[in-house]
Amino acid sequence: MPNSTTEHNKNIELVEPASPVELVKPTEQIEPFTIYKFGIMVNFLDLSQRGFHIVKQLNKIVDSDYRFSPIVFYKEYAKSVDVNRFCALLEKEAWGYDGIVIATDLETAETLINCPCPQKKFFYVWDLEWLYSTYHHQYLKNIYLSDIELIARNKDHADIIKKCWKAPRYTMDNFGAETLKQIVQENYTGGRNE
Amino acid sequence: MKILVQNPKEPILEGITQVLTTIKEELIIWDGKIPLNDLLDRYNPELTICYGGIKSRPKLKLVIVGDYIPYGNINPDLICVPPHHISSDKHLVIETAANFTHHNIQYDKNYATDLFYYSHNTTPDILEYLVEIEKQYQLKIIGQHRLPIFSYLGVGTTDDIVKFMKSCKIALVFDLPSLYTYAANKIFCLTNQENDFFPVFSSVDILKEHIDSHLNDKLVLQSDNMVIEEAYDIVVHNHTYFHRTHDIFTRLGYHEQAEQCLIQLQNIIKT
Repeated sequence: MPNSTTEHNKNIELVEPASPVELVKPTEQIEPFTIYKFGIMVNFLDLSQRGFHIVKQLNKIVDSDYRFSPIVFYKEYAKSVDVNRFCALLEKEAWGYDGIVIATDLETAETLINCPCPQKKFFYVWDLEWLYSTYHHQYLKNIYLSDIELIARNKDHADIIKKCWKAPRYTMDNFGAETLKQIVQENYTGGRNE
Repeated sequence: MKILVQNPKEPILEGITQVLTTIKEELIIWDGKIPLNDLLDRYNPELTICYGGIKSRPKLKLVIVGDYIPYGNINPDLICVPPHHISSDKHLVIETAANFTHHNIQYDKNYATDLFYYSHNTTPDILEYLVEIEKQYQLKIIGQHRLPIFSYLGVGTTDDIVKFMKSCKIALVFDLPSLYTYAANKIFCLTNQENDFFPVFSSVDILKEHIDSHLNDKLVLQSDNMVIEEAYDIVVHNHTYFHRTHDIFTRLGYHEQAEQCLIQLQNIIKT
């Protein structure tokens, strides 16, 4: 009686197992790409309109494009509107951070101006703050007319900022993911370790 | 001569104090913290200029600046009153004048603007003008009086104010003392105050016409330069606090000090 197991084995086409080395693509063949590092400075990443847009848009960027690595630098911890799928660090970490950093109010802009390491500094003028409180002109001038570049929220804001201080370089509506990516891509010059 | 001046909070007294510091008389400024009698005993000044009354003393000449009616045993030698005030032989009419201390500041591009307004004692009708103007033109405002409009860029130091004055194309002025100060610093003004040299507006439309022609019309610009020079001449020869102090000294019989005021003014004009 023929051995059924042997018959069965004869019908199976033997395939050489692939070696583990061949499965992994050699390092040289991986196309090089840049990780765009950028940070946003806030006082709190709280349940405000600003906090909402930051969390939503940064999550959207992280989910859709692996090349972007956002960080939020906060002064004080606060509960945010959603689960952050990006890194959040204390504001003092921005001091040695070498990516692009965007301040979001006068207070954070003042801190950012004094940080030596960020390769490019932006001030996203979320609100026309000088309208709502009495500031010294020197304080405002040292922020708005410093080497920090301005980003306006919309065209009307941009016109006002241009009249009062200097022309904003970009207009970005509510931290819009696409505009934010464009700003970072256009201004990123590589980190220290690249 | 020792001169005691009460803490200068009032514009005329401030202007006079600035002049007195330049003519090298011995000046004592009373800040109100030390009892006045102690100060008078200690320094024994010959002349006191103040805006309130103090008791008469022998060998002390008293000048009161402002709208003050003496009473009791206060017997001033001179009362400096604003124009259109009841006057007697003891009264001297003193107008506010140009502050002549900032004329060496230069243009600074960080302060450049089409229109500038220094905000102090801004009334609602002035605010209406400013709201209309900021919609159409580049206007920058600084000053102690905070305004709820986006052109208001904070409280400025004296340095900021003067740099704005020197770097603007047109200054909007709503009071006469500021007008003299701008004229002394050779700045073109548009004002709602009746005056001998600068264009006057009485409505927003007229103001806008003036601004348009000054900013865009080269011929108007040339004539504006003549207006500026003429205004400067009138003010530096008639309406500075050196002239006002000169008048006070002349009236009190201090002719040497009076002459010194005009000499100092000439020195400043030359520099």
